Amino acid sequence: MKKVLRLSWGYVKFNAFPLFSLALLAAYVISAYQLPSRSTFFPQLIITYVFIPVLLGNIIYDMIGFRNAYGQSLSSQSPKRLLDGTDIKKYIGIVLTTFYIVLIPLVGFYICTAIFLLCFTAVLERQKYLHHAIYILVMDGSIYILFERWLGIDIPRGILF
Amino acid sequence: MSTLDLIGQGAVILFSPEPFTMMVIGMIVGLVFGALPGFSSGNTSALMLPLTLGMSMGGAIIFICGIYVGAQYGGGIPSILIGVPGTTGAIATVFDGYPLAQQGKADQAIGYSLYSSAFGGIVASIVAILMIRPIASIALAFGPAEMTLLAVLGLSIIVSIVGDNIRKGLLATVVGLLMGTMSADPALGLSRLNFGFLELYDSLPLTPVIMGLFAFPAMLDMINYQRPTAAGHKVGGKVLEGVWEAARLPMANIRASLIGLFVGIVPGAGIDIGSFMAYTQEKALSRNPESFGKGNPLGVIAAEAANNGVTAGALVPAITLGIPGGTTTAVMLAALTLHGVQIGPQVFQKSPGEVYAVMLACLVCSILTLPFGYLFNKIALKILAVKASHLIPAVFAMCIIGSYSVRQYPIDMFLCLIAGVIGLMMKRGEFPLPPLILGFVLAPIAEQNFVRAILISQGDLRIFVRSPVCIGMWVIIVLALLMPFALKLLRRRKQTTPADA
Repeated sequence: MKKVLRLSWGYVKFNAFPLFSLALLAAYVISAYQLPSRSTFFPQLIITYVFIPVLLGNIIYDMIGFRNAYGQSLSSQSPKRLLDGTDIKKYIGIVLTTFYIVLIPLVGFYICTAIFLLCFTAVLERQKYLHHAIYILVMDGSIYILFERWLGIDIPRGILF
Repeated sequence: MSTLDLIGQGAVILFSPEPFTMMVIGMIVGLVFGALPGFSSGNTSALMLPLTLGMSMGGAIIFICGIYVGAQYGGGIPSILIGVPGTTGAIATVFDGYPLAQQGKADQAIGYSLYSSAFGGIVASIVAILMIRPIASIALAFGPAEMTLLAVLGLSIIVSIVGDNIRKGLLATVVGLLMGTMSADPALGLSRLNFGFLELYDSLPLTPVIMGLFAFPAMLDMINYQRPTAAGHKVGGKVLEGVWEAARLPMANIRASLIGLFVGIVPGAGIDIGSFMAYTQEKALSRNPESFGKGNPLGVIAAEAANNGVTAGALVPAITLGIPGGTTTAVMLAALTLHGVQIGPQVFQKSPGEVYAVMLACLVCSILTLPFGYLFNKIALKILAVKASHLIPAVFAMCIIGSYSVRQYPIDMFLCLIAGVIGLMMKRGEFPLPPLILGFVLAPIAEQNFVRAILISQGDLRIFVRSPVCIGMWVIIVLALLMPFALKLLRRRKQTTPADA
């Protein structure tokens, strides 16, 4: 079971882009049904004559190649962990960024930025609180000067600052 | 108006306070970020794109031009000092630059890079300035059918630049094309694939997508990357010695600059291709080819002159035809759209002064590379020591707020993140990014002109083969598609023939 899981996860990691392309294709085909054919003529041209052959070619080629290469490496080496340290930090970074974006309109940009920078730098490297404080002040201050003062952008405030 | 009048107009725009200041600031930003491994001129200019909102149209594209030129020299410094290219154009500089540093000649190597970067940019800019008018005059004859074929030509050249990765390059291109058609239908105005979000009615916004695609994967790759230090290297007195030595090799500099210029003109061809071609050419012409890769000054000179030549060349199709010559020029076109300019040959018609101002900016920045680069060398060592744990979160925060600042829709921040995840997936699967960007930028041009051509001809597809320009374009498209395979076959025959003999 673990071997199958590792194999599947390894396949998904390496072929995430073709799988995303498949999802995009499905979304396009579904939405195209609700539109007149004139509106979707050009995208359908691309999908029918280029996208589908190229995508299928990629997926089939990768499935054959991947099964041979990865399957062999799994049977010959000691089992690796599903997620290594670098991957975990990257996924934490993406999750933190997601929470950051969701909370900005609710809490306020500057507070969210301060919390985001604190959490992300703490994940990447342990530092003294003073360094964190200086870093956050410099970043928030720079963004305020560049975007709010110079560009005149209304930074989202939320319930706080 | 004669070319000289237009150059004069461009000079008036360039040497006004705001554009000139933006050019200098752009150069400094390019030098600093180019020296940081992980940053290219493409993702640096993508990061700075929202800041161009506060500039005039001319100031915005001149600012990005400054970043473009500055980053090419900046990228050469870590290549020489720590063996890690700061930008993709500086990969070939590592081959001989790093061995020179290891032999204790880091100063001279930086001097070669400094002179060749400046020289390459100057020569290529002058030739490019002279080429703009003839190319733009041809572009004036373009109707919707010709514009459609031009977009197809831009896409077909991708086949020649993705090398052996044709299937991955094609998939990236097609996904870019589909993303580019996620907009209102040009014929009926009905929205397509906007998932019910009115903010996506017009199209996917270019700025957040470009920022996410470039910046996020590059930053995430820096996590746990143990950057080698530049400890033990000093940059000081012998830089000028290297400059003098490089100045005494004019033919090598001119050859590399022109190779870079012509590679840069090809849409989609990256700076790395130009510098590799020039490096390979110089090695082939050398009497001691075996010395390349071991600290031959000509290796550094060829690579650096070519990558600045590509910079000038890439500007030509971008501003005369609206076809990005590379990723940074795609960002430059995005800056134009932020200022409400519709990209295409009409940019030259409506704003010829701004067009010449950008080309002159490329020339002036190349000249300024000498003094700026010389002063920057001493600061470069400190920049190389910036911690990834400070850089990565800061870039993420800048990308998020930068995406929001363009239209002030919260959805743009999510689009930036989603584009970042797509970029990461592509990097993980070794899918090239430039084809996706090209597809994304060219799709609206191709579709709108295709629909216009079909409406004009009332459904007759023969409009695409009627004019001599269209026929000429078909010939170039077919050649562009077949050439890589023909060259590959030729190379294989050359390799097997000595073995047979």
